[in-house]
Amino acid sequence: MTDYSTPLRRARGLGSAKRGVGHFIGQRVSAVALLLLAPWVLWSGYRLAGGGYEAAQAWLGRPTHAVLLILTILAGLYHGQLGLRVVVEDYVEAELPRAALLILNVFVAAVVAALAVVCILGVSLTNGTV
Amino acid sequence: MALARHPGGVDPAPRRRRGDLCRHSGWAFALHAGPQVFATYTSVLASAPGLVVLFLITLALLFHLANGVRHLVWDVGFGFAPKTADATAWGAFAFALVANAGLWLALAASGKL
Repeated sequence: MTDYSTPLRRARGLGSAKRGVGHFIGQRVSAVALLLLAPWVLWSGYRLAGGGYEAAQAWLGRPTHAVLLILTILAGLYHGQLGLRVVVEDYVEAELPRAALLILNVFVAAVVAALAVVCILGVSLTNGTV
Repeated sequence: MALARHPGGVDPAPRRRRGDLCRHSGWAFALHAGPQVFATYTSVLASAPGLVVLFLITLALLFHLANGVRHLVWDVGFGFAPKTADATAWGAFAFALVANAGLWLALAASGKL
């Protein structure tokens, strides 16, 4: 039998689901954000190391620090969640564990994000020194 | 390099969850929870195993950062020549080792460890 279907006919429906670009762009944009935040993170970690409770409270009382820390954690969780998603998609083939891990991945990121923001705001707003 | 990158890229990810995000988020939780929890938390981090883990986390993250820059440069369209790609691969390893050593030497030198 001769196959009369055109290459286009055979290719249709086999391509991407058209959603990958968003993931790709999100990964790069959050990478750039984290790259910009990295020097501040390193410097802050260095400054806070061994400083103790009150120094840490005072540090987080500065709105700039609270804002930058929230941005760092949200960008980091988003970036990490996207990256782990790819690992699961690439290496977990069985359907149910795959779906479960993908959902767990999102849930963990969301829970840590919410907890972190609440804790940062809690400390920040009770120790505020503008 | 592909193998090195995967652990490099993958490793910090779970560790980010448990390690680094517990260093950042966890730090914020502990700070929010009060002086006693914070003291416990920082004493765990400052213990010998805690410091080893932190050292490895900063190493993994610095390598991930350097290799991430390498990928961003590729995305823009540069650095594909095999010699260049090899050189930047070694550069990423070197950056991670040197920057991590610098960070921890600075911490040690300032008496913060």
